[in-house]
Amino acid sequence: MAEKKRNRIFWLEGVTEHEVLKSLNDRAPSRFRQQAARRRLVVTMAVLIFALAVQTLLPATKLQTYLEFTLLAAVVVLYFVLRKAVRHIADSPTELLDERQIAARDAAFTVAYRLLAVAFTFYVLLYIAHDVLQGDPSPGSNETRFGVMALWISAAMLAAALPAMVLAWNLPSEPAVED
Amino acid sequence: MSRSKEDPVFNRVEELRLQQGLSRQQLADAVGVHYQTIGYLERGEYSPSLLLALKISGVLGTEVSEIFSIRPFRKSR
Repeated sequence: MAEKKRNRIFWLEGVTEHEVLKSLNDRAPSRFRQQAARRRLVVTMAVLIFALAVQTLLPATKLQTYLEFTLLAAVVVLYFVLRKAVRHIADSPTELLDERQIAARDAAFTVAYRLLAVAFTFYVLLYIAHDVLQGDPSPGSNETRFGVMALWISAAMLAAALPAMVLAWNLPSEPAVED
Repeated sequence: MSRSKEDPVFNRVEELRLQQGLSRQQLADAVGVHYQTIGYLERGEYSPSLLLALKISGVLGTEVSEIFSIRPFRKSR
């Protein structure tokens, strides 16, 4: 009797073996097989992450809170769509990829690392601006804490998504199994 | 994903593969890569490693220099 292959979990990469293999071998048509569609997704993701960061400068109102949660939910959803759009290559361990995929993943990480350096400068400036606009907040107040938290969540999501974003941007449209 | 757009590597993989009646998937399985890697390679969007080039050469039964070149192949070949 054939032994059912164990599904390995790659904790550091945040993927499972079955998830990656299924994604890599997925033949179902998807708009994200085309570079143009993937690039639109990247732009949308970038705009949403930017908006999530910048909205922390808005006065703390109910509307701002709704906006914050909506943006956060949209960013998280798009993060998973983006991972799938690049067939999890950005998050896969080397052993599950072939040489082209490894090269593409590593090139994306190199670019993403450089972009992150610039992005984090922006976040520091935003943090300072947030502090200035808050005036003299009472230390530890919920509004201040949550505003800053959304800023760092935005930074964390950018750090997590940027390699996949770079990869999605750079990968040419996929060839069919047989053109 | 060509390593260098300025230094393209031309290839006859598609032509030779079709001559042998192999699908991309079959060639990919034989050399241990994803079928899309063969597709990107045939479109000139990826330059293979020496190891992959040698494996392809072995499967197609043709010398590496007959499959890959830094100069375009003549159409008549």
